[in-house]
Amino acid sequence: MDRRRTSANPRDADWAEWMAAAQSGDSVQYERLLQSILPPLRGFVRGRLGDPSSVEDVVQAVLFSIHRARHTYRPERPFGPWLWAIARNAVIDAQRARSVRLRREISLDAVGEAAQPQAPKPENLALSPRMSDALSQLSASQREAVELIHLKGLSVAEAAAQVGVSPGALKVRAHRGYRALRKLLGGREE
Amino acid sequence: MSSQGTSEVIERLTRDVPPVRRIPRLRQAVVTVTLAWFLVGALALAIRGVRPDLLQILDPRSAFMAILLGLGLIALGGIVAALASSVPGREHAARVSLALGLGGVLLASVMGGILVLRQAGPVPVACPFQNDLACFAVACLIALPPALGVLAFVSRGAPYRPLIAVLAGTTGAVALGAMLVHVSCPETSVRHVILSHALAPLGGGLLLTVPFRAALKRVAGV
Repeated sequence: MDRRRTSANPRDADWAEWMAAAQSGDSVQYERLLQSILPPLRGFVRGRLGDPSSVEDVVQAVLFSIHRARHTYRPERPFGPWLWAIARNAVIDAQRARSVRLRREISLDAVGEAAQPQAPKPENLALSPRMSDALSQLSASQREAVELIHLKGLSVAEAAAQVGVSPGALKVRAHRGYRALRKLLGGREE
Repeated sequence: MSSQGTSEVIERLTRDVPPVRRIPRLRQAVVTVTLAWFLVGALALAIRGVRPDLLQILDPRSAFMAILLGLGLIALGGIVAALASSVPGREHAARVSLALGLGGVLLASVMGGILVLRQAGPVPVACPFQNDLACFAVACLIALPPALGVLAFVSRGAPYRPLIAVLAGTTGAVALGAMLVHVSCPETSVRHVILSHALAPLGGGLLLTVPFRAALKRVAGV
């Protein structure tokens, strides 16, 4: 897949030219380059990432990495391998971060299902008294984030829209909430 | 995050793009590091001189040559791996160089060790421990200029695994130092040749990795 992308991409010469211009400070060509690589980049990330909800996050991380590493591109070399190497590394980082997060986070759904195995709808999940107690000790914003994502089953974007904050801010709240829950529950991962 | 957020990111990144100085070519960096080694090496050889029996032991099947060739491979492989792994898209070159360096380790330590043992006389040659340390220290000292050259390049690049890049670079640089030590040291003790010549890159590389990794973090923030 990579080889096909890197060697046979007809836009490679254009991208190389635009990046060379961007290295000289041409912001118009730079924007043209980033807009042009965006669709194949999304495809690349989507194809490799197991979690479709974080595709845009990773795409943005790749764009930042490209920006930071743009001086490492040499115009006499093909642009594709340079680009896909950065994208591949960003995907690997995202997958690692995700697996670490999954290991650390407390699955509220699992707790709810354990407490009430036949509860079919997320909003009807019954939490164990211990978990309910721990949830009630969170700050209002953290509790709201955790409940919307894990109890009501909303996506981060939907939950953020409902609360009226950016998805990033909501993720931070939820993450802090998980951390506080873990602490309250004595570090047990349930 | 949404695709609308991605458009905002692009807009922000491209709003004001300062010109950047491109990283040097890989070839250029290798030549610079080699030149640094030549300068220090010439100085070191002028001070230490070459071993008196050098011409007699330049036999391709000798332990001396196996170790020298192995050290050369470690140097080439380690340094090119460090430089290549700092440039996105050069991972293949980095992997091949790393394999070359590992081949050098095997050649210098295993093959060289076997040949040294085979060529050693029945009576073990005594060698004071200070001599072992001296050769190891000289190899590490000679390694400093080329290692600094590698570090300068790596700090300008975008290494994905900075620790590996630094470890490969310092190991390669110490191998350069060990090559010079190997052609100048007249010791024939098996222990000395294996530990202070053939395996010096491994020990010295690990030793130098600590300060060089810290320096990279401080200088380049990676």
